Amino acid sequence: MKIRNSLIILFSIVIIFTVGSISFLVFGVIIASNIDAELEDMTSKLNERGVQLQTLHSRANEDVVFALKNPKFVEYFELPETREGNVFENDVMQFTDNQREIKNDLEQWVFHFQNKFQVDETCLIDSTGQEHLRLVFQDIEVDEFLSSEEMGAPFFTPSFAQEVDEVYVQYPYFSPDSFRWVFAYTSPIVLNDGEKPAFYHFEMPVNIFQDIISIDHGRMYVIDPQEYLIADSAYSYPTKNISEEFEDYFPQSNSILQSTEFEKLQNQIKAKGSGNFQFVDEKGESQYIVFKKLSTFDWILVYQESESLMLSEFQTEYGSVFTTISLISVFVGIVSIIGIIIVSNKITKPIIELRNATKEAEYGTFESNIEIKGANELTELGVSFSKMFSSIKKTIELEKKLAVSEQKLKNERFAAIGELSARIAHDIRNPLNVIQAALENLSYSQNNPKVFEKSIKLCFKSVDRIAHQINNVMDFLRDSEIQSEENHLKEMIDGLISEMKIPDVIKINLPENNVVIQGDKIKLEALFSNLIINAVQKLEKNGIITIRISEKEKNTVQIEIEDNGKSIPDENLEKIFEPLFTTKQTGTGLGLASCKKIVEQHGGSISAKNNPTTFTILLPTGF
Amino acid sequence: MVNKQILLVDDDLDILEIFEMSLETLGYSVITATDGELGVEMYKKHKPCMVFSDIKMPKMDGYELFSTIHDLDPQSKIVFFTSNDNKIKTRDAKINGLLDIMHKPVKIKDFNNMIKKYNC
Repeated sequence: MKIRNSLIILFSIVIIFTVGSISFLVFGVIIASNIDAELEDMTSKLNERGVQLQTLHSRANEDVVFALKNPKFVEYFELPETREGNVFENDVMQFTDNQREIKNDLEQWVFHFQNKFQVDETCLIDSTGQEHLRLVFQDIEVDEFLSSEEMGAPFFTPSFAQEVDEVYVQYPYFSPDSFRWVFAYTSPIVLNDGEKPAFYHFEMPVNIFQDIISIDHGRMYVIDPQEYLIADSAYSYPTKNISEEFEDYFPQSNSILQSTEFEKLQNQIKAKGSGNFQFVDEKGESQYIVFKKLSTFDWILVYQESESLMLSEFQTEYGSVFTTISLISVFVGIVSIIGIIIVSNKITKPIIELRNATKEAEYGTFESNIEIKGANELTELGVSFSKMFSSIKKTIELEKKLAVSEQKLKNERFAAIGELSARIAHDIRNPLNVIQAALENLSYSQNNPKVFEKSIKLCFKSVDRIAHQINNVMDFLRDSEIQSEENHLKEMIDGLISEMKIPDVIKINLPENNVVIQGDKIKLEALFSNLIINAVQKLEKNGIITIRISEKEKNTVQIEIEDNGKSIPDENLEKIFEPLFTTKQTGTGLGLASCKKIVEQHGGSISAKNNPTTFTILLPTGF
Repeated sequence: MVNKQILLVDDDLDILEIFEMSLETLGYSVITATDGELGVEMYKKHKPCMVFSDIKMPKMDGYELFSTIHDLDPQSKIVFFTSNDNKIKTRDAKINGLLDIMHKPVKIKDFNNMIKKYNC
């Protein structure tokens, strides 16, 4: 896959991942803070309603106390006839005129009171359980229907337990008179001597209580310790055919809320008293509740809102955040893609250029000029490649040159070998011819002793010549090691000369001195015989060869071989020691070269000069 | 007895010696030269019947000797007596009048026949 495309894919993944994570986090934070804000809001509303509910009770309490401030209540019960006890006739309570008078006053008092304070029913009940007065809504009860059996009422005994100005609040119960579920508030009438002959009692319907918590945003309800809903903004409590049973009128919190988790929460709510919780209902919706315990009856006021409801007012905010993030990511995406395309081009173009150059190089062409613009690693790479290519080019050229010169050398060597072979052939052919001719003579010249003798002599000479030439060649070609031993030079040279068949016309002046040197006997003999024979061959007639040995300083010996023959041309004085150089048309031209080689192997030097023609050899004595 | 002269030109003294001796034994009169220059001089001086010359010689080689002598005397009888030769030069020389060429080693017998062949 192209570099650019992989980069694009990689960057896209990174961007999507990053944007996604950031959005997730951002939204999470926003939502969390919104929920917190909303919970605070809910809590303050909860507290508001809580206060209202409390006020209800405290107001009712105050009302009772206020009502009882009327001194007529005490006056009534202070009456002797009242003290004496109730009088009945035909089961109907009888009142004296005094009693009746005060009773009427009291009834008027209560009538106004009920109107003003929205009270359903008010009773005055004595310690025997006898009602002395009762008002239901606006109806003043007649004597016949005043109840005598109020002792059974749940609030009866607790009422007498109160002191003056103390109000007992009765848990909601079904009022048989008003056919409604009501609260009852009672307070005793206390005489000056502390006796409590009766108590004042009024009822207030629970729907007042229930109405307080109506709310249109979310849901409020009150749970009692038995987990019944005393009030619920989302529940319509029946207004007709109201059941007398607690369990029928007040629904269970579970039946309405219908959440298994909520059931578990109930205990925690009861334990904690106030706070907030979050749970998930059966529909899978997230719900939040704030709650607080009321002072009356350990009831708990709860305010519930679903999460979506809580966040609904922030929809536009979310909308704009989402839009912003989308725009930003699209922008970043576009910029990234452009950036990637540019950068990857910057990378791939030079690479392609390099690739093109190397493609040519595959075929052995190193001509392309690599130039990568910029000032980065790729430019350096390009420079490196250029240098490498020119290096290779040079190497190739060098190799070519070497090959050419090697070929030339080979050719020269072959030519040299050819030349040498031609020379050897030539040099052997002549002596062979002499031998052949000599043999021919021998066969028919028995009678001519001079011819016979000369022929034999020439045979020997020819054999020597052939041997000499071959030795020269072999000596030159062979690169044998020096076998060092002591050599007495005068002895050696004298010996060589006596073995050579030197023509009488040539005179040899033997060396007078002797010097002993370390060296290879055979090579030294070859050296001297070569030089002497050269001299002999050069001189035709009346030649004198003089050989001198002298010791020089620093353990060096000098040997001179001088002849009075023709001079060596000056330009050749050094060339003669080069292999294959010869002015003679015979001879391999290796003789002097071999001599030089031998001399140098012993660590010495050889030179030639004219007037007279002299070969001078310098050798270390080796001592 | 034949006494027409034969000129031998060769830088190898032994060759000259053996052939001079052998040819004289056969009855020929032999003169010798050791190089091309001397060879030309000898020819001028003695006007021998036939010249036998080596090719590789100092001062003047065989080809030069041939052309010099032949220019001097177009009737000259010249034979090369050599161990190697330049084929092209030899061919040119033959075209120009070189009689023959003998490659060493040459038997005396063949030498003799060559001389007789060319009536010397």
